[in-house]
Amino acid sequence: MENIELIQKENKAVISVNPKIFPLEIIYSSAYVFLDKAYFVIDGDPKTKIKVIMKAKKKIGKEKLEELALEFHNEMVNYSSYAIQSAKNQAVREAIIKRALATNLGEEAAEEIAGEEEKAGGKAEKIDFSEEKDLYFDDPEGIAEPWTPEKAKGIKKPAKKQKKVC
Amino acid sequence: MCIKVDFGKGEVLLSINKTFYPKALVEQAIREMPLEGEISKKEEKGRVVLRVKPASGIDLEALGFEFFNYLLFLVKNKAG
Repeated sequence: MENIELIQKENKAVISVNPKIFPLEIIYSSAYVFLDKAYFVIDGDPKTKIKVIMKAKKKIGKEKLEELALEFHNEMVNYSSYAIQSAKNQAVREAIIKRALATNLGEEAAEEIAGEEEKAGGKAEKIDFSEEKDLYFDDPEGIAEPWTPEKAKGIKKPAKKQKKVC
Repeated sequence: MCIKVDFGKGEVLLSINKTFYPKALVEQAIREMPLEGEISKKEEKGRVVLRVKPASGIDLEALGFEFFNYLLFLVKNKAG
């Protein structure tokens, strides 16, 4: 691969990373995952090209070294995806946490939070719990009444089984 | 290369890029890592250059890499 240079003699791989694709935070997080398997030195230019020097702690072959470097790449993709999703869900997460914390704070706090949500452009519909809806309704034909065997007409009830003694 | 081992003098030179490893964290790592021996520090062109001369019998290159790994640990934990 173009951006992975393997130096098998030194048990090292030099990985060139484009900081526009993978920011520094992603590189730190990905390297951190591999701290038990390899040594990491980060160098280069943070604006154009970041060099990640990875040296395996144990002596390994060329294929394994390349595999390790590619795993590091995968980890960067993994963290990038996580970071994007996390940024997308940030507003929702914050709203949920605020709601949860304000549950027992009373009306004033809830109104304050609702105001903040509106400012943030929240589109959640307000639910009016001030009046309880009447759950009862008219039943002129009497079909809403639950059916029980005792109320059945013209149906033979099954005979009760008697236990025979002797 | 960021790690240069001088076997003749029994020392290792670490050239640390301050953009990636802030100076404060480098100093913290020096305080916290059990680097027994002579340590000298100087700054040049956006880098901190450490010269570590530990007691004999220590793998100098491994010591240098361990220092960088510890720096990464500090950077990551500071960043969260």
